[in-house]
Amino acid sequence: MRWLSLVCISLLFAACEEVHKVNASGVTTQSATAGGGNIPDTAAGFLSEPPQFTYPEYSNIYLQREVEVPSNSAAGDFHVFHEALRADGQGSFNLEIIETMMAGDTVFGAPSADVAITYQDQQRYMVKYRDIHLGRALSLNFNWTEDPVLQQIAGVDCVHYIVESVHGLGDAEFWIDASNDMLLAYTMFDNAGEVTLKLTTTVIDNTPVHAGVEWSSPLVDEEDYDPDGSNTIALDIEVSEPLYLPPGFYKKSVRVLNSFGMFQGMGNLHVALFSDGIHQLFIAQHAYTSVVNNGGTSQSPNSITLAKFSETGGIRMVEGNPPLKKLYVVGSMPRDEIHTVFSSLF
Amino acid sequence: MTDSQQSSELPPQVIAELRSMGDLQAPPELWQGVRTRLIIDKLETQQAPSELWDVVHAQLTEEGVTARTTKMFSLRPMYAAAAALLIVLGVAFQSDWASSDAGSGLQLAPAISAEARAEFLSRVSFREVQPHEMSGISRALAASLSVTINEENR
Repeated sequence: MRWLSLVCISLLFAACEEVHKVNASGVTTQSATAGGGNIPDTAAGFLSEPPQFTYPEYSNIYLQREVEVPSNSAAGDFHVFHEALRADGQGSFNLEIIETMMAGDTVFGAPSADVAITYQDQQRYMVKYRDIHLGRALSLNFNWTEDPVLQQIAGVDCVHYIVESVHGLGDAEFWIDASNDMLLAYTMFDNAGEVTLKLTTTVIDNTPVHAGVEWSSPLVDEEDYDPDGSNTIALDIEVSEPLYLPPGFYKKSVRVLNSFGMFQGMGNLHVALFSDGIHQLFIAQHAYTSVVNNGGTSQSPNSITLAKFSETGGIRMVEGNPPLKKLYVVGSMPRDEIHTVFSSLF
Repeated sequence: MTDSQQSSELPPQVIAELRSMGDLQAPPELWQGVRTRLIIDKLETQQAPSELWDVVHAQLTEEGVTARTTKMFSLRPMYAAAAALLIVLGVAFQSDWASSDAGSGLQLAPAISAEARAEFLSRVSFREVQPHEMSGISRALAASLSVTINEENR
């Protein structure tokens, strides 16, 4: 089939007319002559395969970013977190909060103790999971469109991608540095088109001095999960697997965390991360020896009748504890998806 | 192909059966199939130009390759039609690109029926609570996917 693909590509090249322009700043941009048909003047280029991104935590770099998340208490309003990401290019990184502008505020101010503690504790996981990292199945689960006009983020020319979920699970936009493909900004939307998370880089220093930096470290020991039972961080539960996942999702990674005794009655934590290539969904579970059962009257560890649900910062959470176990489903998916995944565990 | 298939008119029996279906809605994939068929039918009457390769080669040489390929296209009908035909054939023969993830053993969750979803949802009742009423594990997992705060403490 390769010859056929080559002929297709050749024909498509021949079918097109490109117009190249060089603007006053010397940045080459390209626009098109929309030659009739159904292509509007504002149309962008559909991509036959997704682009490649690079991520700042793998570079020697200092960035300042603004992160916007929806407020629970003020509908349609956002909290804004001004943060600094520092990385040494050798695998160490640090994420600190600089200042915040909470929903309803008009200027930035010092972060609250609550926010400072969240950043101190969660910085490693925020960079690893909150910051978008493209996974697999990107062509199957999303339609990718490249904006023909470069846009500037923190003074850097960026390529702008518009990404549509083919399963209606929430669209996204990405801005990557045109010179090195580094992801500098993104906006995530829910299935109703509301923004759930927006990150914008505001300052870039490619020659940072890292003096006296306290690099992030894991809160607890963790390792890849081995279903054959050879983990040093042992589980004392039978792992529940979901019978349902949102369409297009796959199992991205499974870890076990040494969380024994972190809370009273808690065993080690099994955390499975599922993804459609962009969105992420945690399913976590651990042994739980409390006599209190919030899961209703069932006595089977594989059944439950009642679960708690809540939502914060664009993230939805469900948890329930059948006897001897606690289970969690957490992600930015629509409420119905999160509930169905949780229900399919029993 | 039979004569009736080549004709734009449907056989009277088929027309009668279709009319007897009343308000029944055609599935969306039917339109996709009809559209593909129409494209192929139209292209079957087109003759690809013999100088095709010369034109393609000359144009590629003339245009060269740019470092950042942000492109928009205005389609030349003849070549676009030929490309569309080959793409249709490529899809039909399951080209490498379309099956790249499947070939790597990646298993993607399928969409399920509304009935199956309802069956799952019937197993559990959900009670909505304030975020601070969720356990520390839930809030920690949520915090690693966003920036979450305890709005009670603001």
